[in-house]
Amino acid sequence: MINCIKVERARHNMSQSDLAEKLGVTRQTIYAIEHKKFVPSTVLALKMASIFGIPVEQIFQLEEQD
Amino acid sequence: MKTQLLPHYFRIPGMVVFILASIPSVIAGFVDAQFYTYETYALLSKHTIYLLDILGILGLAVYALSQDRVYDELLQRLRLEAIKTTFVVSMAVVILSYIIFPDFKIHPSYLINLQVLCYSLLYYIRKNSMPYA
Repeated sequence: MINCIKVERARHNMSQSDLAEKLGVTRQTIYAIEHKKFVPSTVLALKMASIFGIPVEQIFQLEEQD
Repeated sequence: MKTQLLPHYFRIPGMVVFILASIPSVIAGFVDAQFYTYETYALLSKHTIYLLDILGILGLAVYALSQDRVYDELLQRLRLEAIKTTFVVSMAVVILSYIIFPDFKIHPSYLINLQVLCYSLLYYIRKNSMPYA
């Protein structure tokens, strides 16, 4: 699953720590999601979408192998 | 859904209890490899030894089952993976020991200690090997 969290963070001028703090997770988790090492739960994905103010499917997109 | 664990502030007391309760075993390990038959334990009553064993296991279990300061779903997955690996390692140790030494017997407290130590160590390693940006 690909995601554009890094782009959205840059658009909102947010560091990984800022986003992690807003979501109540560790910075490692944000790094792992951005680098496709970890797929977040629906709750976390929805929270992220709410912070960025865009639909969740705009942040996460399925790849062919998914 | 988050796994129910003990609050974060239980971590340090758990580790302190484990370390204090393990001191006689560690000293005895250096003095004589034969547990329960050496001079260090001769100073302690049998009941004290059992009490220390139980306290050691409880302390380690409390440490292992306490939350991290920030506890999220990635850490939950790392804990789950550590439990899975611990289960496989325990099975391998017991099966191999029985194959190599047919009369093999292990004290339940050693097995539990081995499992909790293995789990704590694996979780610690996995958690600290997760890179930052």
